[in-house]
Amino acid sequence: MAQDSVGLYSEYQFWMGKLSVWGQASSSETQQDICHHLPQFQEFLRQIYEVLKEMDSGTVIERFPTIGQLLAKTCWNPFILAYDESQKILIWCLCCLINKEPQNSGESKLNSWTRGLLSYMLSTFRFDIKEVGLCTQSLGYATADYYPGLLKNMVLSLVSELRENHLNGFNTQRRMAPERIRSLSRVCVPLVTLPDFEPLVEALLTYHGHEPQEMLWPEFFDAVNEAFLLKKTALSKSAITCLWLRHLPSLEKTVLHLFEKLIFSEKNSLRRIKDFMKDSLLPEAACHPAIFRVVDEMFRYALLNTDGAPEVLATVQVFTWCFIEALEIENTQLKFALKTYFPYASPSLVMVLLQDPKDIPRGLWHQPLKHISEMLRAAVEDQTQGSSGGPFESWFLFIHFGGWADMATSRL
Amino acid sequence: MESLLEQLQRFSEVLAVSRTTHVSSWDPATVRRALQWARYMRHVHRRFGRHVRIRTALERRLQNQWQQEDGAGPAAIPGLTNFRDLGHCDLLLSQRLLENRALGDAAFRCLLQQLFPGPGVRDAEEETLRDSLRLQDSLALLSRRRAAVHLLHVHGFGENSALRDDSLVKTQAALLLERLQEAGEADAEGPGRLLGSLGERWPQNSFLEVIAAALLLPSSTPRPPREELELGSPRTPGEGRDELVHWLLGKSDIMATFCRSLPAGLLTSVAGRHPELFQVYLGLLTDWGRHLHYDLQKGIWVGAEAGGVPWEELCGRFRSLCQAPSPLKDEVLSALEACKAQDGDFEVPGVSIWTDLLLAIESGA
Repeated sequence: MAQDSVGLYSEYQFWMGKLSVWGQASSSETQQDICHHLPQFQEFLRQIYEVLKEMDSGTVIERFPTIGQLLAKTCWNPFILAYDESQKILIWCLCCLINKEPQNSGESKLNSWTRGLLSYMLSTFRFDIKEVGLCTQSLGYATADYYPGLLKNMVLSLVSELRENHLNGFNTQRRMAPERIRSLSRVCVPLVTLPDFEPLVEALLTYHGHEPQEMLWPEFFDAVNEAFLLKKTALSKSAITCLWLRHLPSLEKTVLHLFEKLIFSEKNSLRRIKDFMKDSLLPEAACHPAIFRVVDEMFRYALLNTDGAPEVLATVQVFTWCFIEALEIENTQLKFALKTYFPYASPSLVMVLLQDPKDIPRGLWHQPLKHISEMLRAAVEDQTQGSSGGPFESWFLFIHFGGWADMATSRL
Repeated sequence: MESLLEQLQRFSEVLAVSRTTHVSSWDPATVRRALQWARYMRHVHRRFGRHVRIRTALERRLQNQWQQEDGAGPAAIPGLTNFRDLGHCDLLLSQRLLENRALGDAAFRCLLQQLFPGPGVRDAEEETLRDSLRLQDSLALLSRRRAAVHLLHVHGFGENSALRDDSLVKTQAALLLERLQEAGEADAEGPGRLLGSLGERWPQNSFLEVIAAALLLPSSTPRPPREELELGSPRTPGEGRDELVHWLLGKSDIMATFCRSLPAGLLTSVAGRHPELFQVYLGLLTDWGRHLHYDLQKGIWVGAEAGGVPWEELCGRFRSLCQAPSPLKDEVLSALEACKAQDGDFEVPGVSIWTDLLLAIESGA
């Protein structure tokens, strides 16, 4: 316990320093730093709340004399207020500061000050836009009535601007500056999990612009991918595919996340692996060869590093199975040649392997199996004469197709 | 039924009081009761949302009360004005109490306890706790959305302030239409009174801009989303728009300012959507044209009096109308042709303003 509070105290100092530097988040460097620290800061707020709720207000001030400053600085920071549940935890922390029976003027003053902060966060927001306030007040509306609508209109305006911009490719005058798109993607970082923002996040992900280099912030991609993995967003499949095509680390993280899920969940039936797999959207996204190749490459490493662990083998097979299914649904076979997915294999071998053995009558299994083994042998022998790949490549290709692999094993 | 109406009226009064200094006499028990009442009203909303007869009766009572509160138009005290407000009346009450510094310390502490039970259990069995957790989430969500609006307002639009203002005006327009419709349902004179009083309170230009935006909102635009599930049958804001057109047609001075001060492109869009307004606009434009005369020495059309519409502006407005798709364009051209014929059908410039306008439009198009 004592150790814990020492840890918390040094963290407290760290965040106090950060909050002072951040101020009101005006420069882009500060914003970047804030966005980078949002999840950790929320975790810290949660820890502080756990400590505060066990104490009375007097002890809180004794233990953390500058807690008021820390919470006030947090209240002024719009990025923190916009992030996930931070605003809620902050409210809880402020509630802990209120003294139930103020004994002296100092304590009453603190109560009144805390009350001011709470009221600021929940009703008389300092960042409110004056023009809107005047109009809505004279119409008899409260903030709860118009903020959702206002946010929706702002998001839609930006979405349509992005779309128009996309179409106005050659009109450099009306084009959105890349810095603006970049800054927009930064503003979205704390807000990717807010459903009102989904159309904007989707528009940014599918917007390519006209610059050769990436315009969106890496932190934005990280935040979207994290939200997707935690199921905190309902973005479309095509938006997620765009994300993985544009940001390799997100794709890699998703594959690793899948491995983790499969390794740490007990009793992995084939059905369960399949559910995890479909849930990950990876097989569907892999219809795009670039994504397929990355995922496949990661499988290769996993197999090599685990000496072909049965779990990994099963994962590869289920993935391939789901991928073929997705390919059939999307009917993209014509869009990309099989060679783009399996560059080292002969297309005729892949064609045979792609057939589900269950579709072939039991008595006729022998023929295609023999055909496959001949082609594999030819490929291996061919390798020895110096072309790319090796026996491993042939084996790696073969084990993708679980049905044939199982059948071959049963015949041995 | 009568007792329900009675309760509604009483709660509406509590809501009105919650913004005044009278809350200084509230003790923790009063706060708890007020919140309980709000919760009960939410249940009424949920229960009778699809019950047309009860709903209408409740709505009528709210409307009458609202009208009585302020004969001049909209109530200065935002309160329950329609059935839908019942769905989030606990949120309204909480916000008002939170910002009311007249509420005593003990009562305020009790309010915090009621509103923010802490992390709690997601699937709490007790209904009151569930309600509290839901309200806590709504308040936090509102706070998050405000931060989001602020971030977009400051960092999202860059140099494009027109686009930023556009979303503000559109939001105001949707709210205006909603109020107009409510006012119209309560009393035929309601919308006129409301607009008259708004015209006095708002800066003129923003008032006119909001009116124009309201006239242009697509009919399918849903109302601004609420925290609550919409239970009431949705009404289209179309009726509110009709009230607006009707009012503008009856106020020639405001209509003239409207047509004079808003940008040409915006007026063309409005004219394209509302044929009655288009006719008035066209009438005003031709009228303004008649007030110009040709200055032979300078070779330009000038206004007879100061404050008249200058030639460039008139020309710009006609040109903008002629860039609109038919039938707007055709009607404008045939009106100009008719005026030209009336003047004697001259083909040389500098004799009839209509000839010159037609030439300018042709050359500019």
